Amino acid sequence: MADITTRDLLSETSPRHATGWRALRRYPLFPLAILVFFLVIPAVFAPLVAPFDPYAGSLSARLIPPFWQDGGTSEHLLGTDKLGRDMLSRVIYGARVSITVSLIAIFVGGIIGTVLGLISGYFGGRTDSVVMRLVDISLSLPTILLALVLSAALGPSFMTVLIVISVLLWARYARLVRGETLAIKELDFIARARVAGASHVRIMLVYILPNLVNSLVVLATLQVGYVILLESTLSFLGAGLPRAEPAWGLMVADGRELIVTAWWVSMFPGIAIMLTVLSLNLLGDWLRDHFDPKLKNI
Amino acid sequence: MKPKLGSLFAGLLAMVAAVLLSAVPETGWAQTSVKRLVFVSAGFDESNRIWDVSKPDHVQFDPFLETLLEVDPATGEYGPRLATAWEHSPDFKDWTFTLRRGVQFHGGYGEFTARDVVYSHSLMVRDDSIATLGDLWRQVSSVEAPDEYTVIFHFENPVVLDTAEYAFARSGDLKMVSQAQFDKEGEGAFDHPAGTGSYEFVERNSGLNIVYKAVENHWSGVTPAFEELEIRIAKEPATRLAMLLSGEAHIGDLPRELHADAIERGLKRLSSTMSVDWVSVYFGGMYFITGDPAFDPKVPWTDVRVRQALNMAVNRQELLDVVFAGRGEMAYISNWTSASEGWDPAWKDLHEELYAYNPERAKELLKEAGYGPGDIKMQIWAYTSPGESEHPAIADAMGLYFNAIGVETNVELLDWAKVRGTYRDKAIGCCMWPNVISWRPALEGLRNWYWSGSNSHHYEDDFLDAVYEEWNNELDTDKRNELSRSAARHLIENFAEVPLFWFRNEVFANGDVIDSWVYPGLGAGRTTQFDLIKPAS
Repeated sequence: MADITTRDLLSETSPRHATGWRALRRYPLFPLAILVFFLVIPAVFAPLVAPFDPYAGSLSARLIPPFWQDGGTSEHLLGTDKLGRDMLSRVIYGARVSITVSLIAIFVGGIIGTVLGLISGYFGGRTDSVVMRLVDISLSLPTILLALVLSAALGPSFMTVLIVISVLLWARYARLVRGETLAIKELDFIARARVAGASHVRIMLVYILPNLVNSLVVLATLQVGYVILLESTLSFLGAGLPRAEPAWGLMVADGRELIVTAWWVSMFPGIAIMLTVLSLNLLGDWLRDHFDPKLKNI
Repeated sequence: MKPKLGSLFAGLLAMVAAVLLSAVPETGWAQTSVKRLVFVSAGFDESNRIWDVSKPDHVQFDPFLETLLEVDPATGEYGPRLATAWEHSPDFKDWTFTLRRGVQFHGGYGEFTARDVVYSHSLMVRDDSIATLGDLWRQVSSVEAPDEYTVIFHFENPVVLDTAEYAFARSGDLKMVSQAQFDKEGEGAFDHPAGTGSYEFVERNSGLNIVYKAVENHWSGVTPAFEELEIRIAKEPATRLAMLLSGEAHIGDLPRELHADAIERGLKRLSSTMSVDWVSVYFGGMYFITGDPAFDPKVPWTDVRVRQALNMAVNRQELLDVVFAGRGEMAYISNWTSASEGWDPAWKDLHEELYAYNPERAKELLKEAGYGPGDIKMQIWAYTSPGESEHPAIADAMGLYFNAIGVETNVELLDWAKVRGTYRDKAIGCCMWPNVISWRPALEGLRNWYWSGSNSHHYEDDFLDAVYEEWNNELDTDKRNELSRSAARHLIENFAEVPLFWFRNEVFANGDVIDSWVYPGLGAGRTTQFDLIKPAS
């Protein structure tokens, strides 16, 4: 007679809702919910959701506390900053800034890195050496220092932030793509494609690239949180977006002198950064575990 | 009878104590529990080269370098210091100073004499000098030293009494350094400059601090209450406040938006005795001298209607209440106060007529000038400097006001050196910038900011140059007053800048360590006379 374990008994006799619960646990609902609430809805629907213009302020309405504090008002739920601008509106619009910067920077960095990685892995030899040395240099440069130098040279602006972050991101994509290309190009279907007369470009784009998409998506998702943090850090240091922009990092910096007397100016954008990055990291971990466990070391 | 052992022991102990106490040298300064007084500053252009910085940066020199004349800390009057007497020729072109005898330089570099004055002046007129009063010092055709204790400055143009006293006193920037040290050490002398002050320079750690030590038996008879002084740099206002509250620093300057918090937490406010600083916001591109290649008509605010509009967009009372906590007075025009030559009380009414807050009228003016909402893009460059912590807050507030009338404004935080370098190069047409400037005689102000021969180029045109040339050579008081008034009125009516407020210099102190500090605010560097800081009992 086979041993029957408690676990076996439980699995046979579990009620339906427990099965449903286990099914739900397979999906990252909590991080998705946070992302949708804190990032997607504000970013997409900011003009409809935000109660005020994030740039408009009034000195006479500066530093109003959140509505639940003495002196607070229901007109400004999360209070106002030192120029009288509505905090809730600026946090909402800040999501738009964050998602825009991260998507564009990842797209640009990803394109550059993917192209160079493909070329490097496919052709090998001297090309591979040169590209990989560039990758090594890029990955060994101190990130914040490089970002500050580039920002100082180019001046703080939206374009500067995009350039800085793209320059910092491409190397990871290049290394990932190069590694996977090296493996894929040895497979039989690639050899058959060559025999059939496919050009190098066609082989890279039609045969190799589609097999990299999973890995690229996982990497991109993992990087969104990193990019948001990096943009926030640059803005906090004054090397990111211009001062009036409702960027979360800038807002944290604006409030740091008032952290004792007007804590809300730094706290709410700080919470937004924390929840967004945490959710993105959890989502990225889930995607990696399910689609490309090889990326566990990234 | 044998003495008790206890009494014998007590007696021995008393004898030992007496010996030890008598061996402690008399320090000459008041006994405080704090050996090193720490003044935390927002930072300044750091250098040991007196010609290489502007007047606000002289806070780093004030403890150990001295000037020929003094500024009374309570009254602001000029008096003797390294010079005991001074007089001028009938045409006001020659100024003769009698030097104090027996003043010794720190570090054993000998007695202060006339050749040190000649040498110090020569530094201020170096080709690379960016000294605030450099244009005045360059008007000196020669400095004569007929004997060791007499020095004569020969000016090319007359220099009236209040200008001369202002320039040669602690309010000016002509600090005395040692010729002997330079002879011995060359350029290396500036790594560890010797002065004659009541503090002696010890060391500088760039970006971190400067340390001085008190001098015993200073010629003035004043010995600082604190054995050591440290000026520590902390750019972040919150950090300075935290340092003051934790006791890591004893005095420091704070932006006014933190003043209420500081007072609530028990810090003591120490104000200068005089309201000597004004803050205005200046326009770049104001180069109206005929034929000036730097002039760019495409800069929107070269149109006087645009400048008036920007002035009328600013709610000055609100700005005063919010940024300066109400602690200031309206400035109708930069540089002129009731103590200035040619002051006219009617400027108050003129200011109200032309500059009163009226954003609707401002929009109309912009429209008249051909600019709709969003057509003008403006940058405001802000920075922090000693006693000038409010620039970012002023710049942000101006951005709000200008955006409200349709002028797209971007505020950028930069280093003071970059802002100063750009306006001196006449390359700042893009921008406006706030600046806190200390009072000076009206002609000196015209020379520093509004004369095309200066290196500041805040606003210059043919009219002001003509007024300057005439005024600079005029000795008749009535004519001088008239010229002064004409210059001021011209600046008001042409909206040369956005004048804001006059205010006192204010610092905060730990009341457990410091009792009081009487300082005029007029000194170069604003916080001056550190040796007058009285410790708490």
